[in-house]
Amino acid sequence: MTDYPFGSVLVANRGEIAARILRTVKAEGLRALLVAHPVDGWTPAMALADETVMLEGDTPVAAFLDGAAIIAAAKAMGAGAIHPGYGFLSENAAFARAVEAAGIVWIGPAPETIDLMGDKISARRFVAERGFPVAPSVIEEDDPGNFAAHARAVGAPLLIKPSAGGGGKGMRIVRDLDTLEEEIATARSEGERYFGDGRLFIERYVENPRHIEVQVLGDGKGGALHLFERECSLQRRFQKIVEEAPSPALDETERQRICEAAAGIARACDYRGAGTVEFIYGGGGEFYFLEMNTRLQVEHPVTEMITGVDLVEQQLAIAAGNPLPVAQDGLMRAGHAIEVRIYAEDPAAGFTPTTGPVLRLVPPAGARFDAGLIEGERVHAAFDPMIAKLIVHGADRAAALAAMDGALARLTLLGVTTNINYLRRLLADPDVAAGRMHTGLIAEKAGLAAEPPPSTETIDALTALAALVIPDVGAALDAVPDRHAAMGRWRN
Amino acid sequence: MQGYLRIGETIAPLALSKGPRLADGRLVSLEADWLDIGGERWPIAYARDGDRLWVHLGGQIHELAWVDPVAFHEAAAAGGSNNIVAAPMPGVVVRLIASEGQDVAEGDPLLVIESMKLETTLRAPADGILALHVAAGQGFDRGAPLATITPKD
Repeated sequence: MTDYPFGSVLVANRGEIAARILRTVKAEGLRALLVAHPVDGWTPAMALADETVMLEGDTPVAAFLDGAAIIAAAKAMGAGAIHPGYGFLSENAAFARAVEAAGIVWIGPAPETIDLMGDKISARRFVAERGFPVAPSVIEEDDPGNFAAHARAVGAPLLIKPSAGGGGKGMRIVRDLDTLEEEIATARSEGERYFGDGRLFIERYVENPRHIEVQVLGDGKGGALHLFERECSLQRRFQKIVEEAPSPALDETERQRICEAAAGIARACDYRGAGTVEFIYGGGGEFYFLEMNTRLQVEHPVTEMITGVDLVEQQLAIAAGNPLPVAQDGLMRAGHAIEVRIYAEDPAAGFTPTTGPVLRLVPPAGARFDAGLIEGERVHAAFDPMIAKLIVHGADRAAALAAMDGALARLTLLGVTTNINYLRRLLADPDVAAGRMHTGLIAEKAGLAAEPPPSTETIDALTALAALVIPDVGAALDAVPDRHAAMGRWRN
Repeated sequence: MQGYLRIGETIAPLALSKGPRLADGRLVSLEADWLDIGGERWPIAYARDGDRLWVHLGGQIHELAWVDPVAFHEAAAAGGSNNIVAAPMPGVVVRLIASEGQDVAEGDPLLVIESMKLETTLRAPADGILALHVAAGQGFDRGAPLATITPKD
């Protein structure tokens, strides 16, 4: 077991990731500390924590973005280290600096690395200058007066991105160059609105691209290794909903190239801790650097499943100043892992978020289920609508798909509309089953989002159940005069 | 008996008789996590939330609502006209554009809501007098009535 210079870790996050991190913190013999917001009620993370401080804020999200309040809570609980999870303050360099200034260990990369990679323009310039592949592009501030002209020279299709962006917000695809100026104006106003930053860049848009990313671990001193790739091409509104490892698109040579590029980028920036280098992968085997996420990813469990490495344990060990635990050639992968994100949303209504009480929640046996809430609590609109992740492992991709289908079929989550039924339909799609995926596949197969009408057999069963448990139906039946019931017998 | 069951987007007429029995005469009963239909047993999990019923059956999750036959036929007779502006998704009111009691025309912007960091302008579904049910900064669930338009005649 690692010898830690800190005796406790505060998780500055909520939901499934807070619980997942605390499990490893406790397994490492460290005190598990947590901040929480009352709107979440009683959570799996609170059940695991040795101590929880409640946060206040104008909104629940604002509470988790209040770095000063979180550091004050950390001090009050005597936290030796802070793990930011993902989202919220996890990629906020100012927060990382404030944590270190408070004498608390920051479980993440150096603040300068967060700054470097957090800005899309500086990140791609850094990566390109060191010889790693980036898509042909135009950066507005290089020559603002001729931005559109330079973009035209790259040629359609183009993708306009806010420099400070993330999560697909404010991105515009331009196929018709006549609309370029108009789209630039729209992207700029969206960038200003979402990120308070109207700077843009434009790059060549790869049609039907795959999203392939590589998990890396760095020691902060120029040493880094990769833990293979994940494919996350199944996305709706630029958000991943299914992730798997390994990617069905790569052969061993391509895998080697893309994973080595990621490890090389991590080495070049003296990366510390766990990070992910994201690539766009085109049909012809070309791949371009997209961005680097300087934190633990939502989909990290698929990497854990194929490598047997606990990534949070590695983050803790690296934050403790330990060298990387293994050499690159000591890392093996086995089988195939798939994760699906369970969202409180209605796929048939354009994947809009839903809310409601969790009346019943029974995870399926034989699968990893990382959940952010428990039966009896409510899904509310205050946070992201992802409520859990389901992860399975199989000997190969077909076995993993079958295991996931079975796990989704056994997952009981009642009281709020979710994407569970939809995920089963999506994974059963012939193209998905064959690994023919791209980031536009979900939008292209919009018909899958509609709930198919139930079979006669199912309607019979549901009608029978309704008669037994819905009082109005039961009462209406009881009100039927005996004559009616008797008539049935006469007819026999 | 008369009545309807809404199963997702499907409306199924209820055909039941005392027993209870399905229309074809099969007797139904419930025992812990098993639904028995004429001797055939189905594993089942369910939960009630007011007039809605959530069911896990055959590897699928179903959302059911009991539809009162009178209400169902009244709604159908009204031709589905809808002068209520309901929230398309949960979110928060960013600002009000039109004001209480204002005479609005179909398509006029009424209010701006934000959900998932996206701002959406909601517009009047018909001509009439506006009644607002929410204030700026207020949060709401999906389906919540945000405004009602009352026709002037």
